[in-house]
Amino acid sequence: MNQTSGHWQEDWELYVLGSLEPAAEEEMAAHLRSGCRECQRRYQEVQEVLSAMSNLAPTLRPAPRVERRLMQAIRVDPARPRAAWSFWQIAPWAAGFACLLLALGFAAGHSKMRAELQRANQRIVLAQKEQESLQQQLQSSREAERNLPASGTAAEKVAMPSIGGITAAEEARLRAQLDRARQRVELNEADNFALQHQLEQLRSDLAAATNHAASLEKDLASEQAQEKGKERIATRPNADAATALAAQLERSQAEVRRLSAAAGNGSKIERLLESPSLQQIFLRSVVPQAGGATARALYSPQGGLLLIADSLPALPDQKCYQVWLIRKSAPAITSAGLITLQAGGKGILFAPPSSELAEVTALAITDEPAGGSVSSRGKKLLFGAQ
Amino acid sequence: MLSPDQDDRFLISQVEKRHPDALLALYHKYSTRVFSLLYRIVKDRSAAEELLQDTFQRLWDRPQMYCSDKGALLSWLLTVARNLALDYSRKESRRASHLVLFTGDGEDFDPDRFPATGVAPDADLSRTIRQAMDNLPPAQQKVLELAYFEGLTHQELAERTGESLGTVKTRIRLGIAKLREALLNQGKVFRL
Repeated sequence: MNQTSGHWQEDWELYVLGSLEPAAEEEMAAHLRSGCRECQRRYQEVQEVLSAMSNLAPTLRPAPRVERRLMQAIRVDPARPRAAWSFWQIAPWAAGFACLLLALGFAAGHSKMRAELQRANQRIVLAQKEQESLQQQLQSSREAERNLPASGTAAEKVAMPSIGGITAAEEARLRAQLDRARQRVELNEADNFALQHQLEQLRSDLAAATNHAASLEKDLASEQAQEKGKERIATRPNADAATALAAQLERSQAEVRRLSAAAGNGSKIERLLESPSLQQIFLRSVVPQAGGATARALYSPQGGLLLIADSLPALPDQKCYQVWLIRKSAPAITSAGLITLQAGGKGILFAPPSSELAEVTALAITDEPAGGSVSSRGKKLLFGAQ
Repeated sequence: MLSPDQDDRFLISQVEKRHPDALLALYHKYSTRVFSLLYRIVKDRSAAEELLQDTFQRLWDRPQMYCSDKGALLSWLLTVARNLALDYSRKESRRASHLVLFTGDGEDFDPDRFPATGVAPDADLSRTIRQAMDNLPPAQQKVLELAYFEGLTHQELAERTGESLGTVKTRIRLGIAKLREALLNQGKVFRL
């Protein structure tokens, strides 16, 4: 340790990293507590860099159960200050009022989910109609294609009508139209796939919310019946029941918040699909160990990236699938996130909007150590270029 | 109504007054960043979830431990989370068998199924720090990754890399200085 003029010049990096021996660490902690401004500044500088280093970890979201557990744990915290009047006096009334409010909350959450579901359904119908129309266009383009001459140089075709009576210029126009129609059909198929997935998820969340709401209404009815039937002053057992009910309602409230947030996923995908600069890349396996795995990705810098993979082989526990963006400019290769395997080898990655999604020329999926890598070290399993 | 958009200092003051919604707002704001770091260190979903809950439980139990004069709340949360994760990893590595300490409650893990909560990770900051790391000499990269994500002491780093203690310290110091310079150049941190 190097201490000059009362300041440690070199060791704050090790201190913040926790890489010092305990005695040295305690000495420096005591120095910090003494209020030395220079050393506090150095400490903060290193702290900022290490905080930024946490961004090297691939982004993962915790399961909603963690929020539920945390809320359950803190809502029974006895340290919470009491109200000025006795809890036992107001608990039954408060619980009844909370029931009412929560029922209203559920109704709001419920109707939001229904609206989301309706929008998703409408979008699927529209996408299907558009797909049908494009398939018809494609069909007529294919018929036109069948009438095209089998060979001949462009110059010959421009110079003279072909056997089918179509000039080279017309042929080029039809081919371009055909390509555009194919691309639109492919994009619509991808839209449909993503929307169907989202719709299934919303349906499942909606069913869960409906069950919760039904159970809550039952509790509410029972509580109201109890209130009507009794004229006496609230007794302790009643208050206990009311407290338990209030705790249950609070837990349900957290669930409603989660479900409402889940409904918000649909709008994110919708925003991606509506981005003007939407691009698409198909990925295919490039090594035998990836089997027949395929993936398709839709992305835009403004809408994010949605990658849906199929038939991904199961990986050992200590491995994960990581998606890489291959770009024209620096960073030439950068992580888009991790895929977690679902049943049947399905995997979905939704990455938030990022400027890194501009100038992407290709995508790759590799197997990396669990938790992902900062730079790719695993084997390239799937690859697709524009 | 408390929301993640509100100022951290205000939300912390509400946590001190024992308002669960204030903690919930902070959880929505920072849980993704904290969870990503935890998972990167412990490489186990259930353990990372338990540690995430512990991190926010600590903020609830002892909000006065965080002092806004000593840096941003996120830095404090990441420090607490990292310490918990490294303690957990050290204990785990001492175990001979791979015991499953934490069990899920049947909810399938699909990070992408769950909505993004609170602030999205700063893509520019991620890119800047990643580029800065890529630009470091491999030996500096290695000691920083080992020190930050695996929590090795400088003694252990010296043993692992076969370098002297002095060399390890210099690499850490230079590496962090270069990362800070890159962050400064991009306006991601400021001179204090």
